Amino acid sequence: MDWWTIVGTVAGVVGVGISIYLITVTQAARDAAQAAAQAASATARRRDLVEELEAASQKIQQVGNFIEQAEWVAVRLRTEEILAACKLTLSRWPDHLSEQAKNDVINASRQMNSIANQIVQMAEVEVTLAQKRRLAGSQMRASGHISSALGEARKNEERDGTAANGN
Amino acid sequence: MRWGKPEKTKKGMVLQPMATEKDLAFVKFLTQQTKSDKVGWEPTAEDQQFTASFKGKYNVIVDKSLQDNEDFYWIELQDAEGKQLLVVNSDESEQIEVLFDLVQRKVLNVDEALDEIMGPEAEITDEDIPF
Repeated sequence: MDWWTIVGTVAGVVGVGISIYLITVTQAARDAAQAAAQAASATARRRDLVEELEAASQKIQQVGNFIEQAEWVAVRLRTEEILAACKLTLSRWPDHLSEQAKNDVINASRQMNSIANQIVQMAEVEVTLAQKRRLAGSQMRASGHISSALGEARKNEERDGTAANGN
Repeated sequence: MRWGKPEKTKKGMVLQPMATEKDLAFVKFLTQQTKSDKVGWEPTAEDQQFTASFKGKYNVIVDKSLQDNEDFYWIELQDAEGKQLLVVNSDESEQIEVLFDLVQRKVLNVDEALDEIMGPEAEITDEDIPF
């Protein structure tokens, strides 16, 4: 075997080795990039969850003010918006909240639903003090539930943000 | 009795056909869990109505209303989106009334109020039970 053949064979083997190494490195880089993109996406989604719950929380406070001022049309409109936000939260971010936090969102939703039902019934009669107290109590309970869920969502966001910065 | 086609009550509840054994077992389960303080019941904006959520997916309502000038009790199971899954009423199970009274007692903290008023001297011991 002449030395050119030996050099060619060695070069071929080295070439194959380099190719395999490059493929492995490229694949690892691609996997890392995908993982980073997924992590960024999860953080972004969680931030959206926090924003959604913050908006719902603010609207529940507004419902309280509207009940106080007996502005029933405004109460009805806000409760519908909050109901939609609760449904969106549960359907879009089911994996980002604990069972208890999801129970809180469902409870808040139920409270808003009961307020909306009462508003419809009250449209025909004068609102009694007892009814107004029940509405206010329901609004307060909904506010507490959403605050709990929001607290957990914020905690998760901060924890993930810290972990991402540490990487 | 309420058979066949569902009908709507004053509170908008749709009544379903007769309850199954599993439905009745669920009512019993709720009663036992409530007795053991394992369910977080709370009142809603509607008079004589309480609600609790389970497993991050389900909501139960227990309600007392008047129908034909008589007390009428019902529970409703909903999914997270508010879709009705099950309704059992007091015509199908007398246990619903027991559950409602128990829930009301728990939510209003009646036992704690009685304990506070009567004090530790009023605690019932085995000797107080005649049999």
